[in-house]
Amino acid sequence: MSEKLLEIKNLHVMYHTDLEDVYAVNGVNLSMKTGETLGLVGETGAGKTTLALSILRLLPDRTGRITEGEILYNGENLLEKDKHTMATIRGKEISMIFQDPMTALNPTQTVGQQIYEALMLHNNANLSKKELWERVDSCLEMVGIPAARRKEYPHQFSGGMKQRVVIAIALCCEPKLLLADEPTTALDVTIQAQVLMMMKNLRDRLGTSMILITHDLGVVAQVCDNVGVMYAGEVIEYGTLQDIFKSDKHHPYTEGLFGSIPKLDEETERLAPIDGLMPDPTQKIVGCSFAPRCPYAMDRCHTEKPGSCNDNGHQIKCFRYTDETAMEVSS
Amino acid sequence: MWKFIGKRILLMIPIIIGVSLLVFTILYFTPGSPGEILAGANPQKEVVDQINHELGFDRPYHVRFFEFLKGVVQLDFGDSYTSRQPVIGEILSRFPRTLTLAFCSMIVTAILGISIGILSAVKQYSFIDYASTVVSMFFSSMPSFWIGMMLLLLIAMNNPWFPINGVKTWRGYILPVIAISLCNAAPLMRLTRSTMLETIRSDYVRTAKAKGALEKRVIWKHAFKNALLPVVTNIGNNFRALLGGSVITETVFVIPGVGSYVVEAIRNKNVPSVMGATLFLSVTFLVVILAVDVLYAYIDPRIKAKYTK
Repeated sequence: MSEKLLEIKNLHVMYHTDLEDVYAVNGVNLSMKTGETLGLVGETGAGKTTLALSILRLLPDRTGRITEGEILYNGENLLEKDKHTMATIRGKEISMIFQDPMTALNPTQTVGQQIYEALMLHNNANLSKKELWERVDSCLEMVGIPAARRKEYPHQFSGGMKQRVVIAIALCCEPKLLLADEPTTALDVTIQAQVLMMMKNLRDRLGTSMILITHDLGVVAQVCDNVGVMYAGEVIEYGTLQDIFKSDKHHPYTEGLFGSIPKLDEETERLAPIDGLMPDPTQKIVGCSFAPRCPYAMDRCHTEKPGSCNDNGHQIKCFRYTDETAMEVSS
Repeated sequence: MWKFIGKRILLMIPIIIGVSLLVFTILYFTPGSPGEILAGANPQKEVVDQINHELGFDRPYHVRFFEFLKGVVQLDFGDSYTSRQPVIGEILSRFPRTLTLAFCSMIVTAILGISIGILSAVKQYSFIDYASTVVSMFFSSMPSFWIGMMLLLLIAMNNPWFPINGVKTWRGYILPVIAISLCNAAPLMRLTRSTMLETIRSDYVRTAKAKGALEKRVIWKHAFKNALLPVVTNIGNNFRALLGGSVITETVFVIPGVGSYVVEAIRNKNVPSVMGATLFLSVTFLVVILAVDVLYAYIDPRIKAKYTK
């Protein structure tokens, strides 16, 4: 058994439609240990959700395609598993919380049935029906919903409650790895905090490893051990929470990301957003994907892809750090 | 739920009165009288008037309408002008044939349309999908009477096992049911395919997959029930239209059903028969619509919640 719970090597994912090819994930390398919580941040369209869906092999059947790379879970490549093996992994070993609780639940089944299904599908201990329903009750209580409400349908729940049900479904089989795809984005702020606290507590109680996808840096700071910053389908910076929030060295995009958060202790008229837009994902990128928007861009950034500089695990994909001389020139 | 059904049944009363009034008025304003038709070719005016008087057709509009309503309350639609038999008996003797035809056609339509629709949605862009699309386009474009005639020509003419006309045995139903089902199943299959495709791509189907459910289970337990609503509506509409009498199919296969009865009655200015059949069909329509609405509640709990409010 490998010490690493999950290792993603050079993953490329594209969406192929009749109109165009979209390069969603372009060479992602990531790894995480058991018990770790990894935050994935980045703006909309950076490929975070695609990455999570790739791990569970839930990309849209006809369009989504993993063109290159490996996803190793406990040292085994998930991309080589057949349908049936994958089904035993989904929900039991790795499960996922989806972004929008409003649509993630089946409107024609009671929430109890939907939790029951997950338990029943992975009922390796051969529990009886009655025992399974008792588990359903305890799962609902675990996420703070009275067990009596298991007979109700999703439309009878509020958004925050629905997300709790989604979390209960994801956690009821006590998975080793939880992929949480913007679990709080669709909720209002007060509920966000509640749900987040609950997830954090459950993670600690069940010892689940977690990949938390978000674009909220505040959430990352509260929950994560390590952080990967994604941009245009690449992880352009990776490090511990300390590295990302406290270190001086940053990828120019991360600098921009932090720069665009308003600060309470400074009087500013306007926010400082990053100029420009993300590159068109239908075009293959030559050179650094951030170069067109980068204030430090050099000639070579437009033609060459920067490698990853590794400073005690803090990885930055930028020529400013891979090449010390270049950094001096630019500063 | 029962309260909802009760309310709907009470609502039927004004609807039926409205329907009666409308049809009765239209019949009143259409030219011609039963006397002219019953008296034969080149009738004398006295004979015509006498027949109309005997039938009560010469009395004023409101008198006749209220007499009709009075009869309805006692479940008596009067006697047919042409046969002089009670209308209700004539309708009831013909209705079982129409009902059998409609019901069998509905079942076959549903089985064909839904199963092929699901199959071609699940195997989107496969050979099966393309083939069923082409076939359904063909049958959507062909009128049912043409298919009926082709079936008679190609199958019944060469095969004495199938009767050419009439429904004296159950074998007589087979070809008309096929003719109607092929026509109705084609659009139903297209509809099932598109709603299934929509639900298969929905988030909750992805949630079910993320739980570890295999494709078969996902399709039947999660996608199917959610895709069913528009399909049930379509089947209900088809069934209603068939009860109203698939006149053309009944004519092609010479089946004495309700549809041909109404057409015949309209042609003869046979007011009691037209009114009786109209009323009878309105009630069956309303019952079918109600049944479809009740079925909705069992498919979708959100609709059930609305009903019980």
